Amino acid sequence: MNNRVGGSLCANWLLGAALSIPAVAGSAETAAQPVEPTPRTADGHPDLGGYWGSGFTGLPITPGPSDGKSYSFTLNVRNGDISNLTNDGVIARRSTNNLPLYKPEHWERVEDLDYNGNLEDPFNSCMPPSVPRMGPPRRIVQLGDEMLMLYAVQFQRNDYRSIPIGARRQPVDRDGTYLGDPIGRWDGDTFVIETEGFNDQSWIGPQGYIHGYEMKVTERLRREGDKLIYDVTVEDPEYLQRPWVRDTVTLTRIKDPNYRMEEAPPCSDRDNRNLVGKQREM
Amino acid sequence: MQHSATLAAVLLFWMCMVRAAEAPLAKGAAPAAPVQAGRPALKTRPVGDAAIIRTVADAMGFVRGVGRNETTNTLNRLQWRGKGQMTVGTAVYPITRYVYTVSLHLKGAREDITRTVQGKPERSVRVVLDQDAWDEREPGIDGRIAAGAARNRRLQLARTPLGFTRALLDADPASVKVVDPGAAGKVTLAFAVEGVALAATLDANYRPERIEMLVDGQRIVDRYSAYRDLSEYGVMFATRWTESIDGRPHLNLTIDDARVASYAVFPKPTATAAASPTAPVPPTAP
Repeated sequence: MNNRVGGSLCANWLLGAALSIPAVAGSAETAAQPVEPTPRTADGHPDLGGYWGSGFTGLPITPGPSDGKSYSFTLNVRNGDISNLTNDGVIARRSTNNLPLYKPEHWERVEDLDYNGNLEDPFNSCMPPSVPRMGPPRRIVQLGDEMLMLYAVQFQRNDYRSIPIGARRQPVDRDGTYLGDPIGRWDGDTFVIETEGFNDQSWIGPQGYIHGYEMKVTERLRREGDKLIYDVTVEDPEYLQRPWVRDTVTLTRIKDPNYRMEEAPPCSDRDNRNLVGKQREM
Repeated sequence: MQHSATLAAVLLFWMCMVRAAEAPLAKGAAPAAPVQAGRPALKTRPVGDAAIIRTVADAMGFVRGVGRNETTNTLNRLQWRGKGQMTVGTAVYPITRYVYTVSLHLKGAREDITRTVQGKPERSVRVVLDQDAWDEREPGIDGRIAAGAARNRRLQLARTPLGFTRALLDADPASVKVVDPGAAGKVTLAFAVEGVALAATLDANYRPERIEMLVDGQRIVDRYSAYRDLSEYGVMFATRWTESIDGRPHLNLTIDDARVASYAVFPKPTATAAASPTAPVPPTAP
């Protein structure tokens, strides 16, 4: 009997899976496949517009017999125990040694927040995942002086960001917001987003990665053929000993003309208080 | 592509709903003792060296994934905590807090001991990261190079059940001597770690119950029992641990908390850090 899992946390598992898998799968694809020509917009910049997929190819399912009305599947999990799907996924995603190097006075708090993350993680209470935890955009709408980025992960939130391009016209709002105050610019063929003005309520990763008001996040997006390469650097002199350069994520353009973003269900945190275990799903 | 992804999502959503619908514990009820998730009891005794080594890895929680995605390499950062006592000569010191943090991939470990000496807490933090070793006043603070200590701290890691399993998996299989049945009908394993002979005896569940090393002329024997899935991720931690040096008791610990894949970093102190004069607490290994 497993008493700890709620629907919202399963959704979080999907978030984790969707965000982590492309870093591995995408890199391999980039090395193996020839790069297609990169389309450009009328103003000469690479065309980043469109839908971008994570490379998540689904669960290890073997389809079974079907009469067209009912379907059967075999989910291949270790020892036939569904909890191993979660456990093995969490351990694999967290095996990286690329961790943010916090100042020592924050180590124990980060560790404890992660350990108690089922209750402490603001994302589990329906708070926004923030930048860069929300990962790369699912859809980009490229305008001349603005970039619109739409975010969706199945069973998660729908979010959007509007990135003005050019010089900042007003001071950063230091009262802080979850998504911060971004400004975009082109650095050659790379679109660079610098975001400041965050509040300190979100985590930059599901592992208890807290941050402060002084955090600055620099995202770099460049297109190579049908691949979108996404790099992130996090600076926070109040919390981090040095900038944290996250692992590169490579996305693939979704060419299906019928593809649409899914609508996320309403978020509910009512399950969290029923959790009796410490096991995380992200 | 989108169809199969949607299918997978629907299926996972269904599974999540089923699990969410499971009844929560009654108010005030204590959760049951954790068991290793998805690890059925052994029904048959493995035959052959490779099968025995794989069974050890599986019994400790190293085997992850299924089919062609199976791996023993994803388990990396681990931590276990407890309390007990340390014996040095004729003196016995209560250990009020013991924390051992590991990165198997980096060959890193931080042993953080708080013991009571003459009624006062005394803390010792000793770190190894591959070829480097240093001591800290508190984790990450005031690091001082511990010259010449790295090898023995790596060997200490290899004498822990999870460090032993990693070393076993990293060893050349041809160099691992497996005896089944060995003394008292138990399986024994022998191989070298950094040129130092290691001998282990497995319990009935193929987890190490005794690990012995001869380090710098001292015979160190660690005994482990009462394995539990403290972390809830299917990684097995020995909750009872004793260590003797040349037959004399040294450590007696009860482990009551463990964490898997949580935050653990080992930044080396700057090159200008002074050498550590003397470790304030006698080491748990020579």
